[in-house]
Amino acid sequence: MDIQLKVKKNIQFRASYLFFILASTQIGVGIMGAPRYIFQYAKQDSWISILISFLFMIVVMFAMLYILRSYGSADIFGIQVDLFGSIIGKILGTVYIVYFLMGLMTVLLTYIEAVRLFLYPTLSPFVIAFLLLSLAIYAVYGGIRVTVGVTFLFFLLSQWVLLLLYDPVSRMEWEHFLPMFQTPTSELLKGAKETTFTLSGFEIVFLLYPFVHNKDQIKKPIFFGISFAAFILFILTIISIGYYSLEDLENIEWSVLTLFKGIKYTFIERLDYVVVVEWMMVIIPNTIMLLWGITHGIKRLYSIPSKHSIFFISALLLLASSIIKDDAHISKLTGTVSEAGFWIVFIYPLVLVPIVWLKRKHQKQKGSR
Amino acid sequence: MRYQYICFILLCLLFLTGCLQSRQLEKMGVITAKGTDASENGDIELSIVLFQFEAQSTNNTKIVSGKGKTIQGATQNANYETNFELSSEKLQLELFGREAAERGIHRFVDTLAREANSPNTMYLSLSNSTAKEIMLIQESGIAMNIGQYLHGVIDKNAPDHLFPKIPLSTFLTSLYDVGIDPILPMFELENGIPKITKIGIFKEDKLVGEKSIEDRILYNLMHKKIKQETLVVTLPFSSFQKDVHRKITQNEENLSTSFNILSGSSKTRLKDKKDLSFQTNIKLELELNETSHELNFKDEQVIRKLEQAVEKKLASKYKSILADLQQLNADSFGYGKTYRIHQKGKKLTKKEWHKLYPKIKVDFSVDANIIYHGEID
Repeated sequence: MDIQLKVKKNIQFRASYLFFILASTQIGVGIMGAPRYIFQYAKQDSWISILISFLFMIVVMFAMLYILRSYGSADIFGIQVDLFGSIIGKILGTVYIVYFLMGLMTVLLTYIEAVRLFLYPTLSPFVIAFLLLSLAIYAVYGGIRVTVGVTFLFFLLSQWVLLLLYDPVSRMEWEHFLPMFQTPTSELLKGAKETTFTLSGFEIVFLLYPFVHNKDQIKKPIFFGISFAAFILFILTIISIGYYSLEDLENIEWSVLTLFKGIKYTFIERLDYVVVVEWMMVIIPNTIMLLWGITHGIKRLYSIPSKHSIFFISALLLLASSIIKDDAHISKLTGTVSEAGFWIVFIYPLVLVPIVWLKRKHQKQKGSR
Repeated sequence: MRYQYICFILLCLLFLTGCLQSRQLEKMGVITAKGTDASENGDIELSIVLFQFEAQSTNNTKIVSGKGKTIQGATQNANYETNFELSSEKLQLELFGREAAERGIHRFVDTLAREANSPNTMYLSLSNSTAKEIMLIQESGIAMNIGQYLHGVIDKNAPDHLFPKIPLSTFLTSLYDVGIDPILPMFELENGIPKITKIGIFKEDKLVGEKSIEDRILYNLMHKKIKQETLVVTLPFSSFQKDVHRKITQNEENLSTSFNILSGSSKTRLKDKKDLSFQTNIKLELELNETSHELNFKDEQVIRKLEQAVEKKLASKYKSILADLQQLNADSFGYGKTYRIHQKGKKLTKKEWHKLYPKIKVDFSVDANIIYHGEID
């Protein structure tokens, strides 16, 4: 397996697209219920938790960029093989792939649950999963440039939903934020940890780096992408805390979707229906990006062509999403993925940094001798 | 090859719609309002107003009722009375009977909040007697669907976000928040026509008392900024005896005035936490619209005098309402919210606040400014 990934010029994309990729892979299904999970620990100071995790994300981002830059044009699979040898490297790479797979599964399951809960309680999950996956397969089949293009388009198409939030904002009770700074730091950190499920997604940079055309300009789009996602989460959490009762927010599972239930116009009564459907545009980039990541990883590690593995993976997802229906099971799976995400996305890059540094130093010494 | 793809996709469009449950409008009973009453031995009685779009029928409104242990059970029971499939996606109004409200409406609003299908925009309201009585009203004056009628009465009587427009989401917030108790508008039949006559005062989820709807503005003023509202104040005439410009009406004891509130807001702060004393400042900008006696407004002193009289009157009105509310132990004004903010380190519970609330003292100071007095002096 090659450590460096040589990518032809014609399938590379410009660094600025990373903004759209990050913003839309980070904002996905997690955000539909995220405020509640942060709130259960951090209470009215939840916004501080989000700021903490935002700062932490920036640190992780710098760590990731340091690792990637010291190799030139490698992805995480190659780097791991270089650092830990072929066998351990491949095992670690497989962990990444499994994590992506689980992540994709939670995306599908959560969205299917939302559709069934809000729109069609009796619609078969198989049908929804089948339709979503067909779209995803179709996009991934087009290669990385199509994947990125779709992500870009759907990002633009889904932003208008934010405008609808003016109504919940007008109903907010600002007193809910007082008294401020009451939550102890340990709880704030717990709250910050709860954001990982929503904010994870930027680990995709580890895979996409070799595909970026102008690698020297990568910092800005990544930074803005991460900031955008954190900002959206920040706003939605603030609105949720103001809109719902402080005693009640913990019990509202779909707190962000429920915000839209209070809006109506004379020409359209139930905007929440529109929003649930519109949310598909939010999760499609997620699905596509993750599916691409999985198949690309399999190709890198085991040299199985994407065209074959994609069907196997999709069949697996289809099976899982038609079997798992229970809300409790989905929550459990989400919890596990969130926990794993915390270690893989937020902690692991920081662990890699000193190893990469040592290795480079070692090589330099060798070179100078 | 390309045509085959397109044909395949078109076929998909055709057949995939079959995956969804079909819902034909002609077969649906669209619920617009629901009346909930407590019935004997813990049963719930529902009166459901619905739209039905039957080709043969000219009347498209129907009222069905059902009984059951749960809301869904009662709805099911009501469904046996109609050949339509009931759906609550367009529920606009929820009316609770007095007895049901006195027993507590937590379980009803919890059901409404739990159901992802029903909207959060529906208004909640009360009936002075039973909800059924109001729903079943057959009055020539009300040609439209009674649910829509009641919804319209609430809708047209307040700007957005103000009482009596209490959608489910707002009610839930004030129900669960510590330091505030909800209020709801109460309908009553007056000459056979439903009319909002009272404000239902809740302690947590139970109806404990009622206040006149005339004081609606005083409640709104405590929670939100208001503008373009009519304020009617009755003042003692004796102090204005000298200022009468032209005598038009007969000698009366009272001077009735009405104002248009150009802007009104309130601010409450905790003066002393130990003492439980609060200070509420209310600021009003008024436009005089009507007086029962024509006063001499050329003299600026008269206007100042009128302002002072209004301030005094409103402050005393607030005082007496608060005293009543304290008696009921219902914090409709939300003083507990201000108290909670100053409770640092420890969370205030509802129980604690309801123990403290009857003991609070509030200084009301009203600052009224009459800036216009109409076209004439």
